[in-house]
Amino acid sequence: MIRLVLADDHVMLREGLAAFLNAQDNMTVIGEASNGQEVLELLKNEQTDVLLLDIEMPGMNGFDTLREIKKLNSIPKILALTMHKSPQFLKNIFAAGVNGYLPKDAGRKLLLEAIEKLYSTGFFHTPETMKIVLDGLRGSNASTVISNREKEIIQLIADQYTTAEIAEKLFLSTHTVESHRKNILLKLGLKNTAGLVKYAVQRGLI
Amino acid sequence: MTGHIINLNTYTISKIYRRTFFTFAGVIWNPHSFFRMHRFFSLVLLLTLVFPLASNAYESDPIDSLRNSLARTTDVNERILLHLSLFKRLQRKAPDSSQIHLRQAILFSKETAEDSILGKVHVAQIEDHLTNDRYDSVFQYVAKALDKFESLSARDQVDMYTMQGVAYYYRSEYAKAITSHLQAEKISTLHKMEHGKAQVLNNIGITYIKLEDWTNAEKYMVQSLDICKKFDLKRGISYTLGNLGIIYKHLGRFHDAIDAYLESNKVFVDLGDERGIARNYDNLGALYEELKNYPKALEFYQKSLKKSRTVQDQSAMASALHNLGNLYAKHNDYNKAIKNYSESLEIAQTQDYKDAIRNNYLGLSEAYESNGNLIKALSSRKLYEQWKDSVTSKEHLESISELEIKYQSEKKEKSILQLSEEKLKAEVAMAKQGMKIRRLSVGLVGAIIVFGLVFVIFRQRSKNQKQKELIHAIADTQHAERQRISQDLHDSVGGDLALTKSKLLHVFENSEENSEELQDAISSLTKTADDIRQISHNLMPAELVKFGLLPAIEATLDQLQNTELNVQLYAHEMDSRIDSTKEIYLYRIFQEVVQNVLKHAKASQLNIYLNRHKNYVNLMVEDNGVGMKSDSKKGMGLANITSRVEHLKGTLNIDSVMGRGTTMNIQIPL
Repeated sequence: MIRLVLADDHVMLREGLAAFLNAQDNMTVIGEASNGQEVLELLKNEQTDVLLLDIEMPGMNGFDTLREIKKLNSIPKILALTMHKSPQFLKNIFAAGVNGYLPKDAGRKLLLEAIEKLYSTGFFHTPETMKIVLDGLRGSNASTVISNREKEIIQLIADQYTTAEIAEKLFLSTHTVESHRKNILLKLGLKNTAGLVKYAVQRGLI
Repeated sequence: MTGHIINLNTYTISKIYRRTFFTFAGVIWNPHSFFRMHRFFSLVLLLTLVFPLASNAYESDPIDSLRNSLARTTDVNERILLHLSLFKRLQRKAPDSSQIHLRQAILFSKETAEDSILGKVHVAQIEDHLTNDRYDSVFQYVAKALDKFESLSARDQVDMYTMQGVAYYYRSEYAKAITSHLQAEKISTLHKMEHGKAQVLNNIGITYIKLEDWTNAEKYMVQSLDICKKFDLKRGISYTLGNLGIIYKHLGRFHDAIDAYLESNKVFVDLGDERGIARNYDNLGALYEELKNYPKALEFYQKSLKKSRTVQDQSAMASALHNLGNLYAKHNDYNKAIKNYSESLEIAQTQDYKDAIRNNYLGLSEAYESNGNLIKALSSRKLYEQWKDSVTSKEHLESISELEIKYQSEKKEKSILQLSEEKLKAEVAMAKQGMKIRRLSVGLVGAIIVFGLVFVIFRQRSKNQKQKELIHAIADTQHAERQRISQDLHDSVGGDLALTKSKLLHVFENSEENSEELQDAISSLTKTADDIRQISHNLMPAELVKFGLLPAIEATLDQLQNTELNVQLYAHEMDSRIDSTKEIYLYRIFQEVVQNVLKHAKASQLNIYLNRHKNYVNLMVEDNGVGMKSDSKKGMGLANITSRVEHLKGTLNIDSVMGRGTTMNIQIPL
């Protein structure tokens, strides 16, 4: 028997879900909770295999609850249930330590599959989450690298152009050029323009 | 009959008390003392000059002539004047018929409307009351005469004040007496009436006698005598001589004193002035008493008493009786002394002669004491003490010297008048100074206005500051509200939709037949849920609230992934959260900038830089679009960006060249 704990502040959804899950031959719902505090109490006292956790609960929210669960001795497999579907959200949910994810409007067939998969293998991914994981491997769309514009400016600085000359050349204001220069130094962890030139030479930018 | 107008000056009565010596002050009387000191205060009559200067056409005429004129005339005013003249002429020789003429004048005065005539009648009434020692009536008619003051002749004015002064004098109200005399002096000087001056000088001399300043008293009295001799004012001569007698006596010049009295008496006899003679007798008695020639003293006192009784001169009677009392006491004839003192006291009390009352009480107390009637002695002594204070109080003397000073200062008035021209010049200078002060005031007012304006501006500024704070508070509230609505839509409505969809899916999965209707419902429901999610996101992105600025920006950019625009985000050190208000504002700025690019720039590349420096966050957005026209800077989107940057006290810099894209450079302090 797979021992389950349901955590959702939406009573209708929770009770419907509990009835459905209890009806399964291999599953039993050993506790229900409407907030993070109740979840923690249940987990401390009951040996739990899988936790179905709604991320958007009032009071102690899903992320806070996850942090506290990680401190427990016995940690169940966690399936996050949420309305959110954006990659940023999913990334953060996985970063918080869940083992699987399902959107709330997912069918019950998929839910049973997810619970069984979690219980047996320790993780569950839908095609959507698989894509996000793959995208993550390709790298974040928030790049920390140097942009083409920044490269231009590094090159001009190395060629001993003044800020005013660079601004004129690139049809920018000196203010913007100066902002770029500061951003470059910040990103490369350099203290001054001399360091920037040295970096450029080493990286073959010039 | 009226052809010869001669200023004939007749002298009316004059009388004054004074003490012969003043050694009593400070001696405490003890009825049981074995060493008793007898003090005798002889009363001496001063001769106060009253010059009735009033002149009218008939004064110089013989009495019979006046009577004839009276019989012939029918003119009311003329009759009044004639009656008044007869009143004066007969005053001493035939007091009864004099009174009849006065009453006639008063009677006719009711038929005249001429103020000057009425004034003359009042002055005559004053004179009559004064002669008969009715001082309250004197003051009453002085008040009436003052009502007609403007129409009174200068002589009437001088007479009136002099008689008022004399009346005060008899009442021992010396301060008021001197005030009146000084008024008389003023008027007589003003009108150059030398004889009026003689009168005033005489009265001032008497004042000095009261003040025991014998040197000054002699000086004024001699001056008065000189004027009287110069103008042959017989009555004046006799009166001033009488007063000089008193002065000489106190200066120890007894023979001069006797000479003066005798000379004075000669003139009085010529004038037929019984009153004057009575007074001189009294004073001569006092003089002989001083010289210890008691028989002579007794003789003159008795002569004085006899004469004054004939003319009913109350003050002279009181004086003679008192002095006789003294004399009897000196000869240890206490019963006679008491008899005389009592008689004198009686008169003094009816006439309100304060000096006489006081001195009689003293005499009585000592006589009773010597007689062994200690109870009566004590009660008399007590009454003496009482009266002593009322006459010789310090303030009383002080007020007299104050008046003396006032008199002296009035003499200086002329020189003050000369100074007034200089004063005028000073006033001009003052006026100039006033101008300066005005100019300064205007300057001051200007300064105050400037300060006021500065104050108002500062207040307005602080008001603006408060307004800004209010706007921020409203913005913060709005954010909180949006966040709540957003979350409610997402979690609650979205949750219900999700549950419904889940159940429908369950039904759909378990049903054998492939219901298209059910599938449509499910997709419609999915669409609605998506819309709700989008609305919620626009209201307040959950990513921004839960994970911060960078995830929110990434989530927004994710939605642009399938468009023509190639977006690249460069971020550094943006993983940790910053102030939530700044996150929200920066997110909204980012949204506006991206919206602007999408709407207007026609760009193919969009680079977003988000770098967290030590003290600030730098957000730079560059596109390769068409660039902005300078006049487009006033668009709503840009206005929103500007106001939000201002709110965060940041800087906004826009580089835009037509055809070469736009760079928005925003720096927000942390």
